[in-house]
Amino acid sequence: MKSRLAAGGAAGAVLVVALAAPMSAAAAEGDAQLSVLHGIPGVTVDVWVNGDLTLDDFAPGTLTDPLMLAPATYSVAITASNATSATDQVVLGPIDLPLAMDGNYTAVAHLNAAGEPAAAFFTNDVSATAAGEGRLTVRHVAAAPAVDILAGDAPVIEGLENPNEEILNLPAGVVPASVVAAGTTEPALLGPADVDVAEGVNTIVYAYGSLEDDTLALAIQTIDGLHTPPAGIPAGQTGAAAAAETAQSTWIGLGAFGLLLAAAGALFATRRTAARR
Amino acid sequence: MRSALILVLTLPLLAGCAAAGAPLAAATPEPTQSPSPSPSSSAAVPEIATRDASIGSVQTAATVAPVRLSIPQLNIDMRIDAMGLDGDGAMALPDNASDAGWYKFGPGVANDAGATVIAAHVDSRHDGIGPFSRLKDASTGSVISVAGSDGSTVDYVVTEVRSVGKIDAPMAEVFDRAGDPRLTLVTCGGDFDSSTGHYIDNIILTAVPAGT
Repeated sequence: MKSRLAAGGAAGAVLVVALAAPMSAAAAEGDAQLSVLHGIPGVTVDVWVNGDLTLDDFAPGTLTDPLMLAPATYSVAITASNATSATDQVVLGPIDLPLAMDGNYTAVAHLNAAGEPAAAFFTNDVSATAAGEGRLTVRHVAAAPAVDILAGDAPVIEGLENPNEEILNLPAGVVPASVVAAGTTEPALLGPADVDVAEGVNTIVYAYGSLEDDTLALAIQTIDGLHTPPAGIPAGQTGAAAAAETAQSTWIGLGAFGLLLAAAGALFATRRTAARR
Repeated sequence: MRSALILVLTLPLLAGCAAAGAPLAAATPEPTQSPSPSPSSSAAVPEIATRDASIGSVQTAATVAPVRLSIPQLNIDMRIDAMGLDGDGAMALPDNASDAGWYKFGPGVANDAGATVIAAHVDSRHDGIGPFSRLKDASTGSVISVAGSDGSTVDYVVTEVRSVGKIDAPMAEVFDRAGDPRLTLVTCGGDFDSSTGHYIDNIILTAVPAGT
């Protein structure tokens, strides 16, 4: 992949890119983050960004690390894995992905409800989570009808359709999650699977694949660092410790005062003695 | 005082939420078909790593809970319970001042980064004045030993003890999950405000792993 990338970057193109976006070689302030998930079963693909091969032989059920990208609109094309360019043997696209400053996105190659290849572009919620809570995002990107998500036996998300998402902010903990056809509780189309909704983390679960082809599966992505600290640490209840401190310093004070009195007394006595002389 | 503080802390968060795109659906940009694969902007694209996204692939880093704390200099030897939050969103603590609490959502023992936070009541309705009343007397360089639930023990060395008015107490800093690994011990101090039932200060002790 590396060599093909380098080869693709003909001198002229590299120069133009470098001039237009000199800061994009390394992560820079304001960079958007783009992750890519492959949710089309049975096809290995190549992903082209702005005409350059960015992901070679990208396998189904695989997620990229976040790409740090200067805010801009990027053109993404998905081709067969033996394609020679972004326009050869196109599976999907090209589509334009507008990435805003500091935005956090996931682009998903998936099947639509009718089972055709499609691209979904999600903005990930990276707002702070409340102390003690985690965020669970569920995305339906499978060739399947509307679904409900059960936590244990109880539906927590109802009527979720391809290519939509639902977001829940929950007390941190493990959710035994199942995906069922909307309005039912069994049989589970997927799961039950233990999903760890960790504190301060957006845990994003994707249902992808095809119900008809029996290729339904779950994929998971996590975005951490969203935690909020507790509001405070109230670590005293009675004031006894402060009272004990005060008492101690009072005794020390009294002691000092006593010494002073004694000294004054001694001085007075001395003077009286002197006066008698 | 307290509600004012919470309000101040909350407002920027709400602003942050709004900026990040609530309502989310409306803020999600629609991908559009572009006429050609030619770049619509000329920003460069760096190299990228990939990983298996299956449900079992998420590695939850094993957090080792601290279970016992000793500070020989202060004659402190306490049990530690894993604690979350109280009803007001503050860190919950064991009822007894003789027991310490560890903030279970933050780093544990022998963490790679961030602050392991352990706090205890300076005094309690249940058992009076606790060992952490002596925290303010800790000397720089004193050794603190923390035993983990896995049987390990990590020694820390005190680097700083400070008293901070609660109104200014830097909770984001105390509960920081980034930066060098460290141990942060917290209790209350200063004057007791009997009208609110709270002390006015937090005593914050910072220690770093021995040998660092």
